[in-house]
Amino acid sequence: MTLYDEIGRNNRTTIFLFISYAILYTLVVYFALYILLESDPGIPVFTIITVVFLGLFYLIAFSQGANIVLALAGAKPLDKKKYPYVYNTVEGLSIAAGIPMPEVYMINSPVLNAFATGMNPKKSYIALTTGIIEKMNRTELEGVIAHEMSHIKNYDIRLMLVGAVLAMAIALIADITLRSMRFKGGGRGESKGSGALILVGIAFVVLAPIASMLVRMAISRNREYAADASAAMLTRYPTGLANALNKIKQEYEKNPGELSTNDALKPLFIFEPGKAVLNLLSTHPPVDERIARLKKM
Amino acid sequence: MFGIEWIIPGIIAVIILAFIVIWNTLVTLRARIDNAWAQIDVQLKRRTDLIPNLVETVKGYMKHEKTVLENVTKARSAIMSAKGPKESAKAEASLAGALKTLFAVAESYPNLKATENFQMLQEELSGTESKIAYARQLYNDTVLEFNTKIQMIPWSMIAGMFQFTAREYFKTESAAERAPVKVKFD
Repeated sequence: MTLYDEIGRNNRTTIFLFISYAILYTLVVYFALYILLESDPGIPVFTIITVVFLGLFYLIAFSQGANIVLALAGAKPLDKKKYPYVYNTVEGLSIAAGIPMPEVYMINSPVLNAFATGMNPKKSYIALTTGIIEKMNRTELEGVIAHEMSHIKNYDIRLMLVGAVLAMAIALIADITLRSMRFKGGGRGESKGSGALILVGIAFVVLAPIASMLVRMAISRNREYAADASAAMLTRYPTGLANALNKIKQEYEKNPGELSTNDALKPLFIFEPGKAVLNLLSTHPPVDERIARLKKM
Repeated sequence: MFGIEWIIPGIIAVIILAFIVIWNTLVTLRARIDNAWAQIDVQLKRRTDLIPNLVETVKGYMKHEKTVLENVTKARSAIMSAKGPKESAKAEASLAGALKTLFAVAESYPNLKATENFQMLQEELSGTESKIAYARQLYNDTVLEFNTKIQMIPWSMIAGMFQFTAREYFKTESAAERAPVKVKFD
């Protein structure tokens, strides 16, 4: 599969997954309202509640900003004089990507990892561990930086945030709905709703948070493949990133030390340790599959 | 509310809307090409600006390499005085060749290579060469997108009508840039 085909396929998969996710969210809201009101809620109420919930959550999460992520990871601005090659590489790749240069940060850690954050390519950040800077050779480091740059360019961080917001909203709605049901208990007498539909609704609301988690992880894995393909496009040298991933994998097999305990940061990193097998709950696809796809480009 | 008499105005509205979207797409893609071209110039200028410092640093150590240094300085002057894109391209290519030779020759001057200033300049110039390459890559990517779009239906129709013509790719024309560096030790 050529580079261009790979990028196209990844984007189509994302669209499909995201539409599924949006449908999931809409159904959850509908069923929640159906259960709470014990009847069909009607389009206006339904639409208003969907939008208001989403809007509120999104605004709050969006304004949190990348600074929190950087602080959580213990990242500090990179010393340009000490690491001119790293700085120049980020600048060069941002030129190739056609985006403003992200700010470069450094995490003091021997672990091999890197991440990117920022809602908007105009204000974005790439963080690299001292470990990865020191252990990678030039083409490998370029591959890693290109991968992170691609996340920024493809708006993946924003995409994952929207996903996280939807997940929170689904979880909260499900929670409220199930809680309120305890108070409705017995007599259903005057209810205008169909009993069967309410049962379906309950099942849906209970399972929705799990489904949303699965969809989000699928989207995350898909975006990782997309970032790998875009990185190969930027460097025109997929082998660089493939070698980097291989090196990272070998290092983790030797010293399995976690970089960060915070689950929120996991999808942002280039590598998720410990997941050799495709696991429905992993944020990254299995390394061997990533390397194989890169080698085929 | 909407009777059959709305069909014709409706179709016209759709056509106008489609035209606007297509026009905007073509204009945006074309603007990106111009921007990408300007980006290359930014990096080329950066390279030229580094030359005086480089020549100063190297002069004291490479006393017997007069021609090598002269070629670099001459190339830089040619760039500053070049008129028009063809002359500029030729001058830039000769600078690229002269720099390649200079750094190859510098390999045999360990004292020079050990100085911090030289190492910094080497890294800066090497980084700038990469950036020039990346800028040219971006330029070619934007040209590809534009050239492909104006051939696709329905963009091809508007492109033909309003003279959105295909752009040229950046190619290394100069033999000097393509040739490997030959170093003579005499």
